[in-house]
Amino acid sequence: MRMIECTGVRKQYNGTPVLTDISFHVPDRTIAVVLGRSGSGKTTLLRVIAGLDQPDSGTIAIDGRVVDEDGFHEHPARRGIGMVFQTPALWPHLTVQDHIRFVLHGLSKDEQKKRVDALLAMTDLVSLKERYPGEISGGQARRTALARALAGNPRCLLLDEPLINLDSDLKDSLIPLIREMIQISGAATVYVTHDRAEALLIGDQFFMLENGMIKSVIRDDLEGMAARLQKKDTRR
Amino acid sequence: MHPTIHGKVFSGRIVRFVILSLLLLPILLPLGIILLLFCTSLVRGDPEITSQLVWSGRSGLLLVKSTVYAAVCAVSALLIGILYATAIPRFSPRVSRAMIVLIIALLPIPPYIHALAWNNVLSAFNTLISGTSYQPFALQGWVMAWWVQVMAFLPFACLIGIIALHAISRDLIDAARVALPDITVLSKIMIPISYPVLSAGFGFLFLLGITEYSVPSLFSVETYALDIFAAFSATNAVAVACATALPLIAVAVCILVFCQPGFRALGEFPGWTGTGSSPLQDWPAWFSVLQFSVVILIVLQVGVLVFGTAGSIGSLPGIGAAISTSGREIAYSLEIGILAVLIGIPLAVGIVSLMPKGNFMKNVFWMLVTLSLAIPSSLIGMGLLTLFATTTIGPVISLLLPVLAGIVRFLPVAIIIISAQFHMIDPVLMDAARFLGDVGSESYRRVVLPMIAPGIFIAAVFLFSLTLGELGATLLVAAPGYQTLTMKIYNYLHYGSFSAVAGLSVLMAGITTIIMLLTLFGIGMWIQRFRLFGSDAHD
Repeated sequence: MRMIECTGVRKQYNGTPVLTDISFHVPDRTIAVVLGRSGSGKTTLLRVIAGLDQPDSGTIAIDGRVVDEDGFHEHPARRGIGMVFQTPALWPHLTVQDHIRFVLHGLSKDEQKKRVDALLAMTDLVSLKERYPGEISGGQARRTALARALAGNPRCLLLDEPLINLDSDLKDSLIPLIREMIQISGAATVYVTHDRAEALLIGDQFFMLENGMIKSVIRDDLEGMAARLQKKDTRR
Repeated sequence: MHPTIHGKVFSGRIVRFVILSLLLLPILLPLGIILLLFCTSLVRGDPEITSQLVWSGRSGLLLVKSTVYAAVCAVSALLIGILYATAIPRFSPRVSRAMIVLIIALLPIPPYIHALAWNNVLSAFNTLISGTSYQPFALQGWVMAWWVQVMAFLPFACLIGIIALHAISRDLIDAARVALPDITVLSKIMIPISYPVLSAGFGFLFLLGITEYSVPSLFSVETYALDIFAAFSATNAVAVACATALPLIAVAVCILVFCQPGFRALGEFPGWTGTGSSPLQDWPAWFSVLQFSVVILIVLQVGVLVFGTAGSIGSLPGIGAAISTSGREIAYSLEIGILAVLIGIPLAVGIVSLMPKGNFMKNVFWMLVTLSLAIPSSLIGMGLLTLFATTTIGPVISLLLPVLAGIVRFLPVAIIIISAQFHMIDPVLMDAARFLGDVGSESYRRVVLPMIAPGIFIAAVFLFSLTLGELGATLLVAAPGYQTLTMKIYNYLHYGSFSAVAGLSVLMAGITTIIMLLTLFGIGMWIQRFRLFGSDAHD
């Protein structure tokens, strides 16, 4: 089933086209990785799918329901998505567990507690649940952001370079966690990165965003590109 | 660290501390003098002082009334300001910008001009309904004073709302928007995050409301601040006025301490001019009604200002007559305003540049800098009079006293603005300048000053406009035979000479608004030329 579907999506900022004609879909329980250079429009694509920005034209459907079409724009909170941003974007006045609880507004207190405890355990944040964002490390903040994004059992998950600016050891420890949590959640995921190695470890499906256009890439091609790049680096 | 280097660092800190203390002296000395006089009289056991310290029921009630009045005015204005800030993104970018410029243009209009405008408009309305069965509006009393005070506070409250809500990082808002409706995002995320700035806004408005008496007195409302002035007028003793003021100062200092983190956040907030406008647009119907009501209220306020002042002049020759008979007052006011800027702004830049490091010292710094906001304006005037009482008041000092009054009262505002601009400079730029060979003063002149120039200009306009509109302290320290435009308008208001007041008010509002708009235009060009603040575009 096509969980996320974009058809002919266009978006420009101040007259500069960023997305020219985006058409692609992500099936249920699939992690689609979108690769592209800085400024290629990866973040814009995620924001448009999330509903944080409105496309100039085109259609976006989530779980078979149209959420963006000419003249119709559904609020992000009603799209059933979770999102992780480039920065952890943690609210300074809330503790780690409050971040998860914030998303669970419709549930009873008991259900909230169960869900919060489960997510804290999965992300290894139990001992830090009373801490504020200023009192935790960068890696812990990313885990909190991931737990918050998954708290509402979203049908779709959008991750915008969630491991950017982290050291390689931390990245190595977070990649399996992210993949495992996404698989448990069963959400269709769009994962944006510019790192091919990271993409290969996370993704099931790959797309390349260039000049505002998106094209599908097969794993072998991506592995070939990554290998050539590594060889070039070694020669240097 | 090598002992010689350690010694140099230590002596450098001492020099900075001494220079900073000297720069803060003009603000703190008048306050210190008042305190010294009061303590001396208290130790001497002056019976007038001790009698003032025994609190009467009337004083207590008046203080409670004044505190509640100031708090209600500040909260009402701030609520309207927050609603206005949330309403702005509903309009097109051009209209949104115009709404912000309108608020900034209204900022320097002194409160008594608002009082005059509302008084005139409501009087006209009462005349209109005089033949009908409707009750006319009561033009005196607490309610009228509250309404006019709130209207006078509105521009500042709206600006605080805009700064507080629009400066929050877009990611923090978006992270909440994907989970919850916009109204919850506002109440659970944006308001709590912007709490420090909002509390500073409340503090500033509350302190203005409790230490000033010009608006309440125009509507025959007695406040504690007026009592202080009355105590001084009756006894001519600063110590007695100080003893009378003590409970009010205690309340004001408590609020100042409570809001201190907010003032500091405002002064050290790098996102003041935040490029991101709030993305929230999906509001429930009841909230939309409130937002549009507030926008209509602001438009109504502008209309009242225009028709309530210009409308009462009657004709253009009216303005001409008002200007021609007030040439001396206009010149005196402009001299005071310009001198306050020429002296105050270098002081503010110096104070901000020498701001101490370390959390504790910064807290002490901001407390000292904002202390004068908690002192009643008339008491500041008395402090300045006492300070220069031993000097033979020559023409230079007579001119300087109102200038100093403006500086003591409003330099905190200039310091906060310049400090915020200062904290927006990327430290890497300074490091780059040093790395490329610029020595301290050179990099300051070539890198720091151009970057903080917009803040300096805005602070200068604020200091100029606020000094021009200052009344409480200027009434006491103006040179004999001289009066500022503000004093003249205030006196006319008491005599009920409304057409003369209207002419002068239009002139006063015109001067300040034109200067403010020109400055905004200049800053806009400057920012655009050097692209000081990045763009909004996403990857």
